[in-house]
Amino acid sequence: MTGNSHKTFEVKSARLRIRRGSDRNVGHYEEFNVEYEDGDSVLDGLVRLRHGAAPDLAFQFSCFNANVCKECVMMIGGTIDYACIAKLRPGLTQLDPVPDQPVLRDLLVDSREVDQKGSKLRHRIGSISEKRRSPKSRDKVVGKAE
Amino acid sequence: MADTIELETDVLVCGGGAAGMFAAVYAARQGARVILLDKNVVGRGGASIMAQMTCASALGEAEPDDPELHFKDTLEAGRGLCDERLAALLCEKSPDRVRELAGWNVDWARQDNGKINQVKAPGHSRKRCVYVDFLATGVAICAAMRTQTSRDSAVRVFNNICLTDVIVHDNEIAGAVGFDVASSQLVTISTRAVILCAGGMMKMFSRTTAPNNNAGDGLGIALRAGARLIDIEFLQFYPNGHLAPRMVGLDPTTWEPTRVKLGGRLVNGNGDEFISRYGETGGDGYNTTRDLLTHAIYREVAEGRGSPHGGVFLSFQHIPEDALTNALGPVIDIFRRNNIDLTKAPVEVFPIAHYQMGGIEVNAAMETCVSGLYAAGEIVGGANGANRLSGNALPEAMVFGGCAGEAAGKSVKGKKPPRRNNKTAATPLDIIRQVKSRTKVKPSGPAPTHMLTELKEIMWTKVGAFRTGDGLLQARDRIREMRISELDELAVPAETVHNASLVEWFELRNGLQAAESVTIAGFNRRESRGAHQRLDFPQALDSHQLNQRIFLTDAKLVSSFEGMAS
Repeated sequence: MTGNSHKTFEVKSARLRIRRGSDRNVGHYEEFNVEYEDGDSVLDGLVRLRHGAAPDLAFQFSCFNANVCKECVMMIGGTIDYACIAKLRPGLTQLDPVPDQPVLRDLLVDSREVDQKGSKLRHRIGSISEKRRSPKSRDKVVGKAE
Repeated sequence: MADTIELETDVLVCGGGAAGMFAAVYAARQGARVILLDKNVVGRGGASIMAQMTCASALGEAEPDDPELHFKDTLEAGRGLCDERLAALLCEKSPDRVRELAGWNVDWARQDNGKINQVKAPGHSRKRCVYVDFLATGVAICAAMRTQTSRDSAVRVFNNICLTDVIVHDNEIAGAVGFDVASSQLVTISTRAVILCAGGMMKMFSRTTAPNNNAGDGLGIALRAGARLIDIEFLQFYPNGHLAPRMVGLDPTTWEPTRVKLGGRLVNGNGDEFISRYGETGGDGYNTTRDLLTHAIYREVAEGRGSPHGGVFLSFQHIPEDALTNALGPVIDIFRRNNIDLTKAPVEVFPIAHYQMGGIEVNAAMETCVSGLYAAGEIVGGANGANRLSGNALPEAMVFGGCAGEAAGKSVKGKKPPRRNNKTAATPLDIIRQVKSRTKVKPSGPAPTHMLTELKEIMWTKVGAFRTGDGLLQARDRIREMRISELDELAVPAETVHNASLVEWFELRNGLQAAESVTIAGFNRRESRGAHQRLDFPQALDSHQLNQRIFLTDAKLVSSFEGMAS
């Protein structure tokens, strides 16, 4: 089939050390090897893990490497960055959820906001809140909007 | 924790891209209470935010123009299959939406005289396409609409709720069901009006520009509700899709807006410009419509004149560096981070699955044949016929979203949400419970991601830009087998907090139905027209200048083309 963009690249291996669990204080790390080709993103690696060694890994993205949805923000090697633009590299890279927000699970934070409109509703429906993982609070963490 | 989250609203909007956000705002203007939900994140997760540049609108600010001319160009590109009511609506109302967005702080690129700048995109007879620099049109529109929806006290926004079915009672909408992705709790919503703005199905191709969410969810939901699809065989393949070298941080559609601004030379693997051999004007201009250019690039590669990665070269080496910088601004830095220097080397491009032109059949009020079920945006079929013009997707989202919201809002005036009917909601809720129950056991069979991978490969190889009857039948049979026999055997990992596999199972449930619809419609259309190219029927036939409908009868997909002479 034409349009195959992967046929001439050299396959390399990265090691990802990923924070797992639903509680920032009692979570643990798991390590995975991920094959990659030069230029692949950390997000490529995470998607590959979901297809293989870690089908239950939690993270979120939409635009897939276009860096417009900004949903894949996380700590990559100790720095806040987007998984879709950080490149996979040889050796160990540690991934953590962004700081200062409750962890929903693994690399996904749960930035529920108190919302005046939704207060009654939230009381009725329990765990659901409006504007979960709201874009606004995300951007605050990363320090910039689009 | 309660088993079920119960909500009620006047109007429910499913999908938080431009169409959904416009629908929510316009429904609220009619006095309706609105719930706007997305299985991902409202204002982030759809395809709209990925739109880099062109938004077609006959404003007449760069040169004299008229919506009538835009309409004429749209019909011509649609190769005889446009729904003229929808195409007219798109062209007539696009200027209103563009000016409305300017009032909501969308910073349209301007000329020196302060007027909005407009460029000529392929297939348009005028300088008509507005944009936001640099390659940020969709980002700017979505940011403005996020603000509008969050400021509107009548609009409640829910992220990460996956809608799985609408409830229909006596051919009228009575509600909807789904689940909260974060907790896996069931969700029921009592409402008289649902607007499906869930985007297309283009995720179901292995090489695609679609976001991770566009899985055909709304198509499956609409079919099961009793609505019909129209011309679903027409899926657009974007000719200049990025192929090599590996590039992240930028959409693979980058090269079309770049070509609209700068021209650029398409060269085959032998170093020859080839577009003139396909009856098109070569040189630095970029006027070839998407269907013709896709055809030309495929032919070059198929006949052994491809680039090393199986595409063709696109070169900007003849353009001075300062002109590149002026046109692309900070995007040059993204290229640099990917080791791409346009002054030194060409890139490789090849067509890539991009846009769903066919879709749910609606009337001019965006309502389906199911009372209270509306649709808007890419999910709607008809406006673009067999081939969509560059720049017509954003107006389709903005205009149709607004129209659907207005119509739905009006339709529920003076009515209360229906009383909950546990009987009609029981079956769709049971399906969610059944899939959820599998998460309690340790998975053994293949995961949804594996079936997704296979489906994407089938769609790319057999249902792509060039099709044959044999290939379409093979795809149809395999997809049907997956849908009927294998979907229920998939293993969903044991997890209740944000279980993406649960979402993917429901994406497959709908996506397989959408994909099968394309194979049936594509097989039945024994001709080549616009984006539907059959190697075994290479000519457009007057006898086939007809719309094709697909619908469910007794759980079987049926085509209105069935039995048509070939």
